[in-house]
Amino acid sequence: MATDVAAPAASLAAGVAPAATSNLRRRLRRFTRNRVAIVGLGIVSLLVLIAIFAPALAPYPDDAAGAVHAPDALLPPSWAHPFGTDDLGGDVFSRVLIGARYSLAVGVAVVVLAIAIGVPLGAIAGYAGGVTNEIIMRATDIFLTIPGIVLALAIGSALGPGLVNATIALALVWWPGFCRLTQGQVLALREQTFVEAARVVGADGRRVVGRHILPNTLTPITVKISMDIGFVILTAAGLSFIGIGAQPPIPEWGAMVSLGRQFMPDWWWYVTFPGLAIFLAVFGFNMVGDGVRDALDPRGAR
Amino acid sequence: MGAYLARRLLLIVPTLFGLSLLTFVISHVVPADPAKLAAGPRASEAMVATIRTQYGLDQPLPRQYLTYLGDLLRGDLGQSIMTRHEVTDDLRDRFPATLELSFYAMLLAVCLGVPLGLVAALNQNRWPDQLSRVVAVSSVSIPQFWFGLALQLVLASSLGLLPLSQRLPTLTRPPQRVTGLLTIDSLLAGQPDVFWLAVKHLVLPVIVLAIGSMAIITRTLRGDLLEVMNQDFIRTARAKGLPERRVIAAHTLRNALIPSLTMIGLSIGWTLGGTILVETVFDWPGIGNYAVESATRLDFNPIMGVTLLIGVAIILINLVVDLLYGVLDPRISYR
Repeated sequence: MATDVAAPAASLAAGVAPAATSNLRRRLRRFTRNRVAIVGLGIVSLLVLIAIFAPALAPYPDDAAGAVHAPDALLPPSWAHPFGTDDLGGDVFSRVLIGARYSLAVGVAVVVLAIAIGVPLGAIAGYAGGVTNEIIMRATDIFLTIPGIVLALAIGSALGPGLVNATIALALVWWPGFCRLTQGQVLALREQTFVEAARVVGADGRRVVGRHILPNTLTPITVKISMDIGFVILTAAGLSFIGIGAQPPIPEWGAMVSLGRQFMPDWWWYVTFPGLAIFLAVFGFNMVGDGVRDALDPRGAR
Repeated sequence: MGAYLARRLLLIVPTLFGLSLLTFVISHVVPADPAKLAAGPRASEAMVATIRTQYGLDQPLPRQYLTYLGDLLRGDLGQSIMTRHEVTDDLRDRFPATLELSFYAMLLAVCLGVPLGLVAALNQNRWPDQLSRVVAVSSVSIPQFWFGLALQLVLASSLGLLPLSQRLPTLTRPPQRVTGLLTIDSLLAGQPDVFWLAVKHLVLPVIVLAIGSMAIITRTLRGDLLEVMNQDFIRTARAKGLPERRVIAAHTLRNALIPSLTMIGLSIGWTLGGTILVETVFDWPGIGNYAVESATRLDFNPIMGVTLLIGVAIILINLVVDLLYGVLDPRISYR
């Protein structure tokens, strides 16, 4: 019975589909015309390839685990060691390549966890309204009051140093942004005619939110994902730099800069190349984010 | 206005309450063993047990929260294992250093961000706009700690143009403390040479701390300016023959600055957060450095103290920004 009544709504959705496809094509075209975004996409693709094939690409893959070659310590950049060597004689180039894996993994893991916490909470708050909304959104506001790195430092030190704990801490810092975004979207969509129609034909709350409201929040959430990954990588590197995140000998870029700092200024390559890697990765993601926002968000496409 | 202020101040109370609940959860619920964390990494089992009963960490959580809240209201943030001082005293000693750094960083960010945003908007989609976009994205993408180290490497170590770190040279006696801000205290004490030294020490950390906020202000203002420029009243202003400079300064900029003010307020929070990394790089004796030094020694009370202090500071800044709206925008009335 319920399926019978829902059928017209389904065909209605099907009727919308062709228009949606051409819309997607237009957005894709808008993205590819943006040269800056394409450069960003190139950097990100290169980063992903490096992360996947790092053990094969790295000339000295063992150095990522902190292998010690004392006679080779602190050699300047050369053909054998393009980025020089660190204080243990490790090849900085190999360590930077393999470090891409950690930065990417943390960036993706934090955003996925933050979505898993924030989106359902935001949907509940926006759809339920009333006291539920107040409680969830006031809690969100308080999380958003404290700068991300400060809160991550506090949670990270409560959990204890380490890459996994830093990832958890960052996810606990990042969910409120997704929660607030989803809540705002759900609040606006809740009053739309097509949602009302779904309710009238007898869909229950979960179905209305899951099938009719949430799919329509995908665009702003996609924009936020693309804008956030770079900042997560940047913050995670900062946490490692101050000793809360990845611990040596893990070749995480922020941790490498922290180690190399003690060998400034004479052994400048030790801090320079891992830091440059962070900058390029974050720059690439932010350029892509900028392009995705311009392509998907009509207001931003001025 | 008075009634509005009173209501707005009253609204802060639940926010502060929530903040205390958050820091309570982080310090009492998140750690596997809060007593062990409070006692520090080198404490013996007996010491941990003493602390557990002494601080009531064996009590039920709601009662622990009430004790915690009572301590906070009395200004008791516990002791630092590292400095052996009350955390409140340490924060009082160090906060002016952070305040001075953040103040000049915000000043620089606004003084550069506003003209750059204006240039970008007036040249929409031409090369100054594209350049400002690339500079902005680069500025928020560059790791502050690494940018700081790079400046130290080039400008301080190699060229010797500016001091490497700290607020003053080790052998210089700081001026008598009045505000704790060296640039003010040195002038009050009539020591222009110390003032000059303090300024030179501020240059690098202020630049590093400012660039992110500068970029955000530039891009937000550009967007707001473009939005205002398409409004009817701007066309009217042009149509009645106002010179373009006046249209921009008196009509466009003033109206665009109002929404941008929110972003400037938010970037103060960013700046305070950034002090964590920037103070670490420049060995700046502020609260950010304090939190990091404590974190590396697993000294927990100071970290929570800094978190609370920054949280409270940002809540107060948001209040000031809200009140400033009324000054800038006569359409908003506080009733």
